[in-house]
Amino acid sequence: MIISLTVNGEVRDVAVEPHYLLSDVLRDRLDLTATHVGCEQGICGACTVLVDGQSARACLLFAVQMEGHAVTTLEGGAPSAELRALRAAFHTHHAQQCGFCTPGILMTFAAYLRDHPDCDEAGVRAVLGGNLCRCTGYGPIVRAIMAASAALREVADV
Amino acid sequence: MKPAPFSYHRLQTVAELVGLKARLGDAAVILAGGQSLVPMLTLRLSRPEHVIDVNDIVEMDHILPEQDGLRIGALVRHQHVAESAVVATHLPLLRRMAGGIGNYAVRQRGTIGGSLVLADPAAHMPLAALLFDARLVLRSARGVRTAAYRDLYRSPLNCALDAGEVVVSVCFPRQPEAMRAVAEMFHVTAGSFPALICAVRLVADAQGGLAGLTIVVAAGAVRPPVMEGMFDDLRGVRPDAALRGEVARRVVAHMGGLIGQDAAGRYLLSVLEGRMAVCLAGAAGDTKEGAGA
Ligand SMILES: Cc1cc2nc3c(=O)[nH]c(=O)nc-3n(C[C@H](O)[C@H](O)[C@H](O)COP(=O)(O)OP(=O)(O)OC[C@H]3O[C@@H](n4cnc5c(N)ncnc54)[C@H](O)[C@@H]3O)c2cc1C
Ligand code: FES
Ligand code: FES
Repeated sequence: MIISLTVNGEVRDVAVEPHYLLSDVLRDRLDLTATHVGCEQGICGACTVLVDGQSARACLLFAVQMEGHAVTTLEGGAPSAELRALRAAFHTHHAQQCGFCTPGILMTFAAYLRDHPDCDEAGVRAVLGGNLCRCTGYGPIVRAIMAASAALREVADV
Repeated sequence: MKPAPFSYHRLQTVAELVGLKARLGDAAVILAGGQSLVPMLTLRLSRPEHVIDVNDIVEMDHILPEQDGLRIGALVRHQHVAESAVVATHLPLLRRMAGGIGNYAVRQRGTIGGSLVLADPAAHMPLAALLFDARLVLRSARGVRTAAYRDLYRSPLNCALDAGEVVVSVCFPRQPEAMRAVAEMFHVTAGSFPALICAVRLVADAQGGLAGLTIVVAAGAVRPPVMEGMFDDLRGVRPDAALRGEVARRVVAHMGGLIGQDAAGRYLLSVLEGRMAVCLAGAAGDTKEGAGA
């Protein structure tokens, strides 16, 4: 069957079978390989994308379900202010080593920082519990997210 | 592994849903948040011929305060419960428990209906529904009925719906003014199911004595027991430290009989003992904790 969905702001028609996972369709049909696949069980968070602006596990959705919905991946056409701030802060704070977990963390927090502009470190740590990182020990990631959040607040205050 | 092929149906109304369920019978499964069903399909623990997507059925997506309690549609997401001002006013503990489920992305999609039907023994919503004696509104081609979740939840992963039945909403009964409810969750790893949840619902009489006490504990892979009748002899007694110690002792002994006394069981029981003390103090109004419930 052919489904029509919006990916990164562009309407795309893709041929899929109902049992194809969104994560596989993004990577294998649409060549959007920033969405990583680790566990396929909803645990590791590497596949996190935005569906209608909210974070969701791409491995726990069927691509057919996305007909009429908007999916945003890390490749996203026009990155949001949150995503830009997060990217810059990840650079500065060396919050990435192998990079396997990074796309999922960036997408999770792009939505979280937008919805929680006044978040504190405890809140960030609780949300980060949904994304596994085997390299960094999480410290630099927490610092980067807190820095991005502070930078966004500064812009908002001007 | 990947899911096996199936036919996909996306419906807009409950009427269509019960019609299709009646026609397809056991060959069809309902896909709500998919946060438990999709992993089961991916692991091929389940290979249905038909998958019915209910995510568009907006009539199952509402939180309504009603005369006799709080009605929550089956399709309401955990994050919605966790952020709902209405839930915060009527049942603050439910809101806190929803916020403790899994992780942020899972809460954005997982639904209360899916969670109750799945009846995972370690899950938050089933435990809350047992604690507050919630009733499910069930619909099938035969009509509508309501049933107590305590009766439907027979054993782990077994919520006994009749053939062709779907959950439309869940109703949490209105609570008396003098009710306090507190829960404690114990995690071994972040981002997933807790190893232990214990929850206390305490109703005080006009003199501050016990008028009602319900305790539900999720630990080990057993259907969380609802402990209530075993405290009948304590009615009217003030919930002071001595009484709370006695209640905790009974709860730990009861759970010990259910989950076994091997090393893992003994460890969980020791955690339970500590957490029960915190819950009971909170429910008795002895700590700030109780106010949050
Ligand atoms: C990484 C991870 C961590 C998790 N951690 C927790 C946790 O800590 N605590 C917790 O409680 N849960 C946890 N969960 C489970 C999560 O809460 C699920 O959302 C929930 O158990 C199922 O809800 P769902 O809407 O996703 O249902 P689905 O997966 O879509 O469906 C589950 C079952 O319910 C049936 N069903 C769904 N809706 C209806 C309906 N209206 N009528 C009849 N049958 C229906 C389906 O057919 C299926 O059998 C976790 C899940 C993941 C992936
Ligand atoms: S691949 Fe989706 S959560 Fe791990
Ligand atoms: S940077 Fe390697 S897993 Fe996080």
